[in-house]
Amino acid sequence: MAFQTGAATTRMSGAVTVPDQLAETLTATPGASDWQCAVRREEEAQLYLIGSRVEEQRQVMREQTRVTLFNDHPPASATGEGASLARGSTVLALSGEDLADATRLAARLHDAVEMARLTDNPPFALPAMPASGFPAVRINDDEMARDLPGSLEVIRAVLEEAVAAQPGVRLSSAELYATRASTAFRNSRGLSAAYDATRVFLDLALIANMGDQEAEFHAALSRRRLADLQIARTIAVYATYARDMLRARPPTTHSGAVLLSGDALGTASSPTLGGFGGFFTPLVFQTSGQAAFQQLSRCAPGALITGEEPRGDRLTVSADAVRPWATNTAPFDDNGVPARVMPLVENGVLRRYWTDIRSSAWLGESEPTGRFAGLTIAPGTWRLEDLRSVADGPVYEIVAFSLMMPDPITGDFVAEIRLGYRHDANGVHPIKGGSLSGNLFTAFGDARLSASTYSDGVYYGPMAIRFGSLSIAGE
Amino acid sequence: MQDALYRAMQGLVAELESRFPYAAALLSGQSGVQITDTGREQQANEVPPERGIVFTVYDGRSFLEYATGTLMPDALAREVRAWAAEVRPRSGGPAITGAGYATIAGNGWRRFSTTTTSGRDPATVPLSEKLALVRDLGARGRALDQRVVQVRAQYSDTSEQRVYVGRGRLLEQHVTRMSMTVLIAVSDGQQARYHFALRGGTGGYELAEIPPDELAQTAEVALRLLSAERITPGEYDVVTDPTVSGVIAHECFGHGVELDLFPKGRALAAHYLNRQVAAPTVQMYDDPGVAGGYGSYFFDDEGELARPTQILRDGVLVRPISDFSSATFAPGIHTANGRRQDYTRKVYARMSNTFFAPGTSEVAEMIGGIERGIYLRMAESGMEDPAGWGIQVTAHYGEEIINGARTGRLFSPIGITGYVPDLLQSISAIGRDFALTPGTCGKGHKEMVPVASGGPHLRMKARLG
Repeated sequence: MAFQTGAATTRMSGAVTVPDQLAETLTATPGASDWQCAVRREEEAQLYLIGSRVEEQRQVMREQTRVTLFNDHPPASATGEGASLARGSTVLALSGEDLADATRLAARLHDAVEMARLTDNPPFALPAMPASGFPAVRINDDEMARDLPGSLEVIRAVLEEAVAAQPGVRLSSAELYATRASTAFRNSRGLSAAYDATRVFLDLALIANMGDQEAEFHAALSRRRLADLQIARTIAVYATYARDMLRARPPTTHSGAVLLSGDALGTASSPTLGGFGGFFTPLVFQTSGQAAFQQLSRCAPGALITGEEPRGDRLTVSADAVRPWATNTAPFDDNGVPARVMPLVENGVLRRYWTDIRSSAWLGESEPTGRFAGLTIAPGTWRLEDLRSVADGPVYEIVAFSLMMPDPITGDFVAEIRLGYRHDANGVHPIKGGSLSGNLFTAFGDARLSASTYSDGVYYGPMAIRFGSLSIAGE
Repeated sequence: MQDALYRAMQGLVAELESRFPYAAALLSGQSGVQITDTGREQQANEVPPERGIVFTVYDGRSFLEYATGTLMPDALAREVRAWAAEVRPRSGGPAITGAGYATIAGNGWRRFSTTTTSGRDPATVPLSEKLALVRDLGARGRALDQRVVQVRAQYSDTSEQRVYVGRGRLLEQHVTRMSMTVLIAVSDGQQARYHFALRGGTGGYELAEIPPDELAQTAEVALRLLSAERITPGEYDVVTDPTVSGVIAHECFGHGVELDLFPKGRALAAHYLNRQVAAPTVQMYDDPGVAGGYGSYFFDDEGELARPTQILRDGVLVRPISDFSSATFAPGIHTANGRRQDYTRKVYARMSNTFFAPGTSEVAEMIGGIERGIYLRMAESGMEDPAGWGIQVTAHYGEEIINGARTGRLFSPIGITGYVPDLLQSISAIGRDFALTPGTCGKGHKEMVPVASGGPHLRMKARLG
């Protein structure tokens, strides 16, 4: 367990800093009631393959200095009514030219303060240096960080070997990125910290062929370290999917038991999108302090998230920002709030909202939980073979959607089935096409969770969940 | 400073051109503001500038790029020369064809700007005025009905700069993109529903205006959605509004004809060039030169001047869209569609403004001809499947049609799925109306670029769920 509450260091990196001179300038900026600054330096190697041919190689260097300035002032608009002081803020990115020219920098900061002065929000405080420090988290793959292009060559070799071992399947194309980043953070309340992290990304398309028929399976994986790509195992699974796509048929229209498994439960993480996507988006949104503050949450502390007593398993959910090697793990979030594991839902009941520094203050909570970095769902007790049981009729198992993007406000979803299986008395038959629809909160009113687990680097939870009643639009 | 940077780019590209069959540089960045007001929270921030330069060479076998945020000319030159010193010309790959057919006379800079051709430049509008616009929109929305629990108004103006040096071309463009979105959430105490309105395009500040009647209609639909039902899955006769038509175009033969997918074997369209894939009345285009289109530009990220590409002619697939790299490996097809998210990302063949051309039918006639069907409204999202020709488009809601008349009964959300040729060959009527909707397009789940999609109302058969 990497989580430490005692002697954790606050400076995991010496690679970048928020310079003292910049901090002094920010402090001296007229009208800047508070400030925070993050400096991030990123180096990335990118390799693009078409089959075994190198299509393109890229080297990327990026350094960003991002400043948030806060200005406290008498409220001028409805949003700030009821408080004697409103807090406005604005975010700006400083370029190398800004930082090299004191006059230019002063003008940029002056304009930013004026911008902050025009927005009214209820007051909130920036975090101070935590007494117990920040958790030490494992997010830096030293071997990869030492040689980014070399790491990509390692992945390429393993990838090509893994694909070659799969009959009837070839590598159509792949995109590989290896990134090392250093982040330093500082604010006007004396908080100062930094960390290094790595990330590896693999986007690949496998093509299976049989005679003149071809079928593709496309996937994207993002991890903190090379080993977690588990390329041989991953390719074996995706190659099976690609071959099954060749003989998949459209599903029949169905209303009843549907099993979601593996990637179908994942978070669709992306190096450019970041954050969350996928099936659980409404759960993350609805348990947020932001949703509660905006009066859009259907969930209330102490109440069942499903509204009514569930017939199946009850959900237990945590927001986990410290899990070792998880894709979004970091010692602190974008506002300097220390990372932690925060239980949100226990036995189906919302225990508390997860909050950032704003929503925490606005909901009257004692402290923010910080960013929702990783989703942990406690596994259930069901064996996969029991979840696939056809004793009560056919069961559809979906392993991949084209795009699962549920509505965060309503929880409704409808998604095309990229690949699934129909389990019935005659066996298991691959399916593709048609769509699955339902509502996430209603669906969890009748759900069974597997004992076996799955992770995509952001989601850690049951390998499969069987929902008692969902609809498939098929033939 | 800017002139020194441009001179440095020219000098460095000239050095690279002396060693490699192809070299180019692209400076990109953006400025502007984003404002959000929910009634309970306000934010006003700069648009992230994402400013940097990417240098590209073709070494005789593959493309190599160095991308950096360093914009000080001397430091930039040191970085680029250090990178170039490690790169050697090779042989064994296809020859660079020069590919493009849009030639530019003269050796001087060519400069393009939307702000010289459109209305009020948003950069000249005080922030206080923009904030007032957003706050007023929110306040008017909240006053429409006591069941309104939130009105979220989002304003954005972005001035996008691109400077291209290469192939004897020196090009600079400034494109201003405007957008305003208002989302009205309502609740009856049991459930929350919402509807939204969206305006945007390239041009002046006036594009951010959402008229009062549109705001009222948005609230009215949100309230009607409180009683919306889930649709019974099945195949329906449908009429699609221009937003849904546009996303169908975008997902079917927008992504489906991106030439970079062809050499990867990822596009079924490669086998269907010059074959019938849609009803004979269907015409479809991608055109970065559409005046006011949110996906418009003057030249693409590889210095290719904007021009329209007709993708479907009379239902026949006639031309894919391409970038320089894919056109190099598939000579003869180079369109102005090489785009990158920003300097840190690769160029791909990407859409700009993608749309079905209008036809001759009146919308009322199209609906009037349906015995039992659904009028699909407000596309939310879509997903491509170029290899399998599956399609997923999600409409925010649909309205029942019985005996040629809309009944007022709503269903939400509605997923449209099917096999692309089946869907497009079922098109039986094409409206005479036309509209483009602003949006953001990803390649898979990444590489976001601004685009527009649209067209007229269409009547077809579709599987809904």
